[in-house]
Amino acid sequence: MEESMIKQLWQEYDQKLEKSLQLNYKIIREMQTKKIEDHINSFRRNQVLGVVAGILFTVSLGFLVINSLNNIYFAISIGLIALFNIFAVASYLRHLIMLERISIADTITGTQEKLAAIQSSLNMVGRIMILQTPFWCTFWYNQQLIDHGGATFWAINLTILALFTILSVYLFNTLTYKNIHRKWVRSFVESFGGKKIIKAMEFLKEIEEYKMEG
Amino acid sequence: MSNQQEGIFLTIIEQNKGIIYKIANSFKKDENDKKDLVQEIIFQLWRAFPSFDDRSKLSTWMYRVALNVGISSYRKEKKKNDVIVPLSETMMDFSEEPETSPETQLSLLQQFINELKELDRALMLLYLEEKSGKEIAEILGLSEANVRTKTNRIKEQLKQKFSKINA
Repeated sequence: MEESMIKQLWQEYDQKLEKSLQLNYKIIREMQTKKIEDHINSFRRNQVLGVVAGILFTVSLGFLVINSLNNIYFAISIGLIALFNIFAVASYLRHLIMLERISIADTITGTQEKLAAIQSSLNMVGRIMILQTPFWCTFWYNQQLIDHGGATFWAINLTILALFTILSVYLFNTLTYKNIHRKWVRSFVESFGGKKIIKAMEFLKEIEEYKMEG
Repeated sequence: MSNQQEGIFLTIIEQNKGIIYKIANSFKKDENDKKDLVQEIIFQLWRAFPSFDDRSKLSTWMYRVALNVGISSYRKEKKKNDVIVPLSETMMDFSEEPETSPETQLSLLQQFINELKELDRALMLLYLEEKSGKEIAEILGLSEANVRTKTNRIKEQLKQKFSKINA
């Protein structure tokens, strides 16, 4: 089929729509009075929830640290876990600021690239949060255990701690987009609710390539 | 929004209802999803309208908003029975349903568009709407040379598709 025929076909379609489509003005006016759920902003809503939950959790951890300064092992472990959570809250806040700056009326590649970049960066937040795992193995240590735990107890505990440390560092390094072709990496990220993040990362790559072509 | 602004906005929507429907039709298969997307596009246009300025053409602004909403909505996994607005009626209806029999060339063209990736789909819609290379580049955020290359590639694919069917 020739190009002109394709365009003619499209024009005929346009004319048909023009004739048969009718706007419901009453409903359009109702938009101004009814609370409409905004799909574009559903991501923003999740980020706000993340910030609120993160602040509550971090404040609770801070409260625990302040009240347990006599146990230095607990205080340091929980303190470091709190720092990881502060990082997560800060990242979510940064996402909200970035979202504020995105205009839906900007260019398609520009807007979509920014949206996908924000979603993709959640993967980085998740990877950094994994690094807090070893501190969940040490918060219950205390001076009495250090003094009287015994060799076997410490051998087992330090082995477990070392395993969790190695595992968390390994996961931090491996759960990246460049490894997404590995089946278990994809499944792992997906099983932690990262399906949308993977799609966003793929789309981001697609946009970058799209802009490069030509 | 003042009454005057509301009047202007409704006129713009009336003049461009076809493209809003075509974008919704290109990014959603299910009829209810299409209606939801039409609603979402009009809602986002309404929200963005007060900040529209003369730096870009009205049509450029409108296509940008509508296509951004279309692509974003397409990329979202929709939950079942997910209702966007508790409105009793839809924003856009047909006085008479247009012909969409599967044999028509138009259906084939629509099918071809729907099979394209999101960004190519946006480009193809703009091309069919007879937007200039410059305006397509402004809407998509690409260079004119890039738009030309991509348009030629998609047109070639389209020609091959039709020639296979008609062979």
